[in-house]
Amino acid sequence: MLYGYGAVSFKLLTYMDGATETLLYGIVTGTAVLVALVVLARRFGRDE
Amino acid sequence: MSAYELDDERAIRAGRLVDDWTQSSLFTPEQRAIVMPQLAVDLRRTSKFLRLTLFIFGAVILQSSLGLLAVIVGDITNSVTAAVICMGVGGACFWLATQLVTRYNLYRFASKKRWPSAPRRSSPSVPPCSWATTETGRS
Repeated sequence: MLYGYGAVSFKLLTYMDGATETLLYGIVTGTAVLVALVVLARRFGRDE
Repeated sequence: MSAYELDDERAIRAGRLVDDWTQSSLFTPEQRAIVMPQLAVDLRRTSKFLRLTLFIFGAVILQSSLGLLAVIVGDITNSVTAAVICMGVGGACFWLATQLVTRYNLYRFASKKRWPSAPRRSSPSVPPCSWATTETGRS
C-alpha cells in the first residue's frame, strides 16, 4: 500500500505546480488513507 | 509520567512474555489459555506494521498541515512566527494524543517510546544504562 501510494503520488504531484495544492493533496489523501486503514482494521481485525 | 496505568503496562509486558514462552515451549497452549485472560487489559493494540503505516501517514498529514499553515501565514522566514506555529501545532498534537488515549483507549499507536522517568519494573536489577557500558566493553 505504501509503495502504491508513493507511486501514485509521484505521478500526480508532477502535474501540480503550486505548494498549496501539493500540501492539500498530502492532507486529503493522507486522511483518506488513515480513515480507510481504521475502517478496514475494525472490520477485518481480530483479537490475538 | 505515563498516560497508562502501571498495572496495565505490567499486564501487557507479562502477556508478551507468556507469548514468547509459549513459542519457546516453556508454556503449553493450555497454560497460555489459562493465564492470558488474567492479563486482559482494556486497551486497543495493533500490529507493528499497521502502527508503522499509521505513523507514516500521520507524519504526512502533520507535515502537510504545518506547511499549509506556514503558507497561509506567509512570513515563514521569521523565526518567531515559525516558533509560534510549531508550538501551536505541538500543543494540538499533544491534545489529540491525550484524547485518543483517554477516549478510545489506544495503546502506543505509532510510537513505542518510553518516557525517561518510567520505572523499569521488568528488570529491576539491571541499571538503565548498563547496555552502554557493556556494548563499549566497559562493564
